[in-house]
Amino acid sequence: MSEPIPLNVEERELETRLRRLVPASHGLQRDHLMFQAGRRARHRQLRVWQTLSTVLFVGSLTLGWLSLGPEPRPDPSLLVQVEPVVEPAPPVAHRREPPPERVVLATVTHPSGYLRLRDLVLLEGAEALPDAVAAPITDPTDLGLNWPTDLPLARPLFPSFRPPNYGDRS
Amino acid sequence: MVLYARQWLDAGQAEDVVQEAFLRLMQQTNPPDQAKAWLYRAVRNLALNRLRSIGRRRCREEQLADETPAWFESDPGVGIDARQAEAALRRLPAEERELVTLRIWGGLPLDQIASILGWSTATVFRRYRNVLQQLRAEMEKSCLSPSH
Repeated sequence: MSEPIPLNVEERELETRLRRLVPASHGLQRDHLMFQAGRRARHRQLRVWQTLSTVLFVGSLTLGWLSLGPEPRPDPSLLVQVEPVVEPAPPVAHRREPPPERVVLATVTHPSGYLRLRDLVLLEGAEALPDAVAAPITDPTDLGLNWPTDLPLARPLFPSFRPPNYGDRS
Repeated sequence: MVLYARQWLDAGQAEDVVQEAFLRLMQQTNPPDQAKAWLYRAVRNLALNRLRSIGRRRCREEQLADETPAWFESDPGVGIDARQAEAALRRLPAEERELVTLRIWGGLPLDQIASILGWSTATVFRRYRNVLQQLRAEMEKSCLSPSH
């Protein structure tokens, strides 16, 4: 019921009398109305499902065509060369190469003790040094070169330099 | 609500319009806050659309008055002649007849009537009082006239 509004007595009396009038009966039936509403709702739901199933069917057809159809030519700019993976060699225990055979250069080896020791140290390292032995007391200026002292020429500057043979003395 | 729709349409079409409005209300996913006002507004729009589509003019309402069933049930106990009241209502301008129908038989408050008709609440109240005075004058005149 609507809220009362300020009216005078005559207006309110007329309003009350008019309200007593009953509208003519209509042909609307509640059951028929509810049936129509349900049918429309069903139609709408059916349309939603039909649309959804159609979309899914078209999508599955497209996917099937793409999977069964010829492969598209690859874009050359997108080619990636795949190289086979090279298996790394199994780790091998590092085997120390045997030291090369001691090469003794006879030409280099000098009969002198000091030079021979120097050659050995240069070739083999400090391990070649002999045990501490009291060095013989020798002339420090003696290099072990037994140069003939009666030669007229001066001593050579280099030990490897061999003085020319001036003839057999024997 | 059928009475409201019969201001523009005959009885059969008014029932169709009311049924259509109810069906649309049931299809709403979010029901409106004021279902009654929503229904009256839907009936109004549907009736006016149908009136436009069939190209019927309002002047034909008078011609159809005698052919169509009466708006109200005839009941002498209510203290008012149904035919006389219907005739007085038909002579009102369409908007004012609509206003009276919404207020008296629709039972809508003034603010909802204002939202349906697109007026302000004060305008609705003022025009409603004028319509009641008009109706009273019409009915008194018809009662005094020798033909009735």
